[in-house]
Amino acid sequence: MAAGATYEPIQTTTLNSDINSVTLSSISNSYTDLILVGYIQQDQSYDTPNIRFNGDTGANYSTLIFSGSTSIIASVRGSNETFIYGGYYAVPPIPDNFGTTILHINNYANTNIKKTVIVKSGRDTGGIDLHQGYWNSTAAINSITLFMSQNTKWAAGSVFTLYGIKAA
Amino acid sequence: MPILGTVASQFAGKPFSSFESIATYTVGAGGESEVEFASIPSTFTHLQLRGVVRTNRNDPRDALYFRYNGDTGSNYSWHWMHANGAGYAGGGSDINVAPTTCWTIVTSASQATGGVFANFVVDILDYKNTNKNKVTRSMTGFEPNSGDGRSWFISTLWKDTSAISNIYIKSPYGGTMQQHSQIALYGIRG
Repeated sequence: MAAGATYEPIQTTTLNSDINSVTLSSISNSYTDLILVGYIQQDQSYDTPNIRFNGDTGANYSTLIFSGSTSIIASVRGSNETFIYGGYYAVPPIPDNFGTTILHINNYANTNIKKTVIVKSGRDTGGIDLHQGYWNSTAAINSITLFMSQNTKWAAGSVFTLYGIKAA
Repeated sequence: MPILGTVASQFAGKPFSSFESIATYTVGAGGESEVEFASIPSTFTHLQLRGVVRTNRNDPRDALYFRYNGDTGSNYSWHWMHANGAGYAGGGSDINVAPTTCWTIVTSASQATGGVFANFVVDILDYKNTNKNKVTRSMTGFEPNSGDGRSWFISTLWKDTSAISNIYIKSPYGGTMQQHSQIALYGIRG
């Protein structure tokens, strides 16, 4: 019944210096789902991690933000925006203090459906998130760009790894 | 199961042998009112279901309940928290209420933005351990850009120590899963 091992690392980017954006490109459509794991830190204490697909910079994204911290529960929607929120708060440059963001992009290559994303993220400074993201496109996702909207940078030491899962 | 990718580059193109595809349902043009995974092998440690679903319920959203091993008794419960972009809530069905199913996945439905399918990741932990009642964890929901969207975090209980060999999935509202919906079952070795 089982069809064999099916969870593959596709590519990893490890930052040796601070950089504005990271793009994981040339993603083949040979999987069913994608999982992007980011071990992240920023070079400033403001701004949020953001996500775009296939280089689309239009106002074609929205995010349903569900975030909790020690003092606040947030339920906010950002519609018709130019990115999906990959986290609700910054991950500031505190030594050895990285955050995580994990994207589940199910059926990313299915050209019959618009793309939705589960974003699960957290950091010591600012709590945890469980977002739902939306890209108003039926295109197969072939690249993922992670950046900050206010021109801050990913800090050196951040790691981004993309996995593919193939259903039987 | 890999957690962080710091060593992933060493394994590029080499699948992790601990995560296997067991079976997949892809809904065809006629729709599907129910899905059943039968004869689930007991060779794994955990199960995971992943996929995308939209139903034809006349509403922005629908749900899918799970039943295990054909048990139609009052042996289930679940708890949840969710956000809709304007507020948040939590709740559930206590075991004392004893529902006969456990609601595990939230889906988009016919009044949601066209082409928007809900997504989900459901973990069924220690599914064959006969010393434990069975629990699950779900991340599920959808964002349609406008109208009713939801992000849900759900935990369910099946008050039974049997190894899970069968999972039955259906809408409690009678919604039919629409074409291009997909539910995939995976096994994770310990």
